[in-house]
Amino acid sequence: MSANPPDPVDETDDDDALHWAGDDARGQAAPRLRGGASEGADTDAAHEGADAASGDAAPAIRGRAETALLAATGVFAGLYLALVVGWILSVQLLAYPGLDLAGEVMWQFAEFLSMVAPALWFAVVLTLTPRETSRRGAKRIGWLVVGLALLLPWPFLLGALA
Amino acid sequence: MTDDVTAPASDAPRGWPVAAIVLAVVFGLLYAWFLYQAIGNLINVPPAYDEYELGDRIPWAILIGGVVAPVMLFAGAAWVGVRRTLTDRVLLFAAGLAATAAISFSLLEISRYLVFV
Repeated sequence: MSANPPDPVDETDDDDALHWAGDDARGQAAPRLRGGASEGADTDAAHEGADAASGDAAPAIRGRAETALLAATGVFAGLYLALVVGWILSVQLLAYPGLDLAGEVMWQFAEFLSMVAPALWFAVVLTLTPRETSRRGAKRIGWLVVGLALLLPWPFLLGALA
Repeated sequence: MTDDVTAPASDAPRGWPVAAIVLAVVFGLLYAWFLYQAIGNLINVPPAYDEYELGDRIPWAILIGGVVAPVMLFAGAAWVGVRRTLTDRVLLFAAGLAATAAISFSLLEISRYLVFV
């Protein structure tokens, strides 16, 4: 069982190190960050904003908007995590008031649903606002705000107030 | 059967394929449980308040909100899910059902709180 020596690595092309095998086949040979980093750097250094109104500005603005949306989504992720914790604490305060088995089973199912409700809402909003969505930021933030308002853990909040 | 249908029409996703209808019926039964409970509250709670001479403090907004919430969330999930994948529809119905459960607990607890305020 003789192992063949590894083929000598061709290090003449540095770009090879920056790509995954098969990128070309999937049409991902180009840089994945949009906006052209080298052009942007050149613009900033040499022209100091003189080209702000030119075509180079558009990718930069879109990049900022996407970054802001990403940051806002992250903030909402934290808030929704707090909602999950709030509902976990809430169901500790709830007790089924009846005696029938079907009602109790559904009550406990509803308790489980309440705990996962914020996570599900968040997942749905993210799933249904992909990159190509028109007015993506407004839709995503709007629905996240609606979910935040609907899913406040009132049993825990009122328990804390009382 | 579909030979006479023009190509664009046959390529377009149907609004309600059979699988989506089955999904809507299954989730609809679960939503219906919460609707059934809310209607029961709407019918039974006002006489109970009257019995304890709290007739002027019947939480009508909460009782009606409890009936409206499952209907609105089911209809909303069904409407947003039209022409989407089955996975998206399952997520939508599940999120709506979970929100229905959470809202029903919230309304119950707010109504209890208001009795003692």
